[in-house]
Amino acid sequence: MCQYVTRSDRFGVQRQLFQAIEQLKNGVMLPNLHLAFRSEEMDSTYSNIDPVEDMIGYFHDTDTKMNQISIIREYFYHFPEIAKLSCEVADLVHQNFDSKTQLSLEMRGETNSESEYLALCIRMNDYDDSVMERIRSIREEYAEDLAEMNGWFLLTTDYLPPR
Amino acid sequence: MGRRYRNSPIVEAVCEFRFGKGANWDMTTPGIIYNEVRPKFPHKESHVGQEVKLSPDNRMPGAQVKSVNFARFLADDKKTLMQLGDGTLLISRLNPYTTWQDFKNNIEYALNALKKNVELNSIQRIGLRYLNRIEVPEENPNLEKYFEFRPFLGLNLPKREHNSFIVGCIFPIIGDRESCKIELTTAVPEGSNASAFTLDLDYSMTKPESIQFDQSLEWIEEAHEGLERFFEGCITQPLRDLFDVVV
Repeated sequence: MCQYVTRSDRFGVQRQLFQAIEQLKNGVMLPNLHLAFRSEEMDSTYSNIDPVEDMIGYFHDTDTKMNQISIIREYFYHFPEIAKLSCEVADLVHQNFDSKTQLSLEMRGETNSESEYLALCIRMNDYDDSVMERIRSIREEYAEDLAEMNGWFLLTTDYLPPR
Repeated sequence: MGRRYRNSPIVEAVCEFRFGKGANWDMTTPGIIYNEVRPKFPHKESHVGQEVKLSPDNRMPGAQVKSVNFARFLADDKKTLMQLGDGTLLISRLNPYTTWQDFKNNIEYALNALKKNVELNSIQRIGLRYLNRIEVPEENPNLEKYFEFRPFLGLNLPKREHNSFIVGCIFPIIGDRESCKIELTTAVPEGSNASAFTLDLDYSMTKPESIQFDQSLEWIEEAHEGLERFFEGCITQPLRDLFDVVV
């Protein structure tokens, strides 16, 4: 299989590439994915914000609500590690919650202050007792990485239905 | 000098230098440079990135993923950044972009600070890259209206029914010693009833050590002139009107 990679797919393919390389390093066979690169493609001038557009595209394609997209984009520009982390956490939510679960990416706290942070808010039609437990379990997975990052991120819920 | 725009689409300008390792470039270098550039870049951060090295000539197990540490120094407005990694210096300016002269002054300042403190043997690569985020006030626009550089779909494909696209081209310059890579892709619009695109222009030195250290600023100036020509070649007058040319 050969995939043509559009910009909004790139984040997903990048993750598959990392997984493939990790598997190779561990002596596991390649997955059913062939990645073709031009050598020039790998030799670009570094950009802080190029990956951000891929990540915004990822949230857009996975129907995550982003009511303040320009503010989120600015936050991602300044804290690209938070942007990457939020995508990884969104992936974990998709794996651990029902497909009808809605995600909303929101800026919270005072704008342009140190209290400003990014929240990924889970919204569902029915909240059972396990919801907060599952959220805590995902939080534990990223807590150590987050502690070393600039910027802040929180996975949470406001117990409201999807909007 | 190229055109200036009131609504400039530039979201990031980057100038990156990759050096051959000098004798005294080590893990203490960012600290030394920070002391030098502190008046202009008073805020510092440390970051960890990942670098993937793939060689198409080698067998796949040669692929390597490694963590790369880099230091980032920021100006007071947090929009001008200087980054130092393993043998690399990067200066970038985020939106709002001011002027080429401002940006070039920052490049020169950072480069001189590095030169003063580190023995730099050779330049492996220089890249000057401009990322433009372009939003037009209509959904599924006719690309011909706004872009001279765009996907060509022929006569038998639907013209305005694609969700996303990516189109790119690498232009060799000066007998392959330099090149300019241009990419146009769809992006997520911020406004309703709008469409967004990223126009990415990356002008770089493709032959390592093809210029001397003291020629680097001259190279950058020429690269910038080249980029202005390529940028103007990519867009049409209606888009210039949206950017609002400064007379």
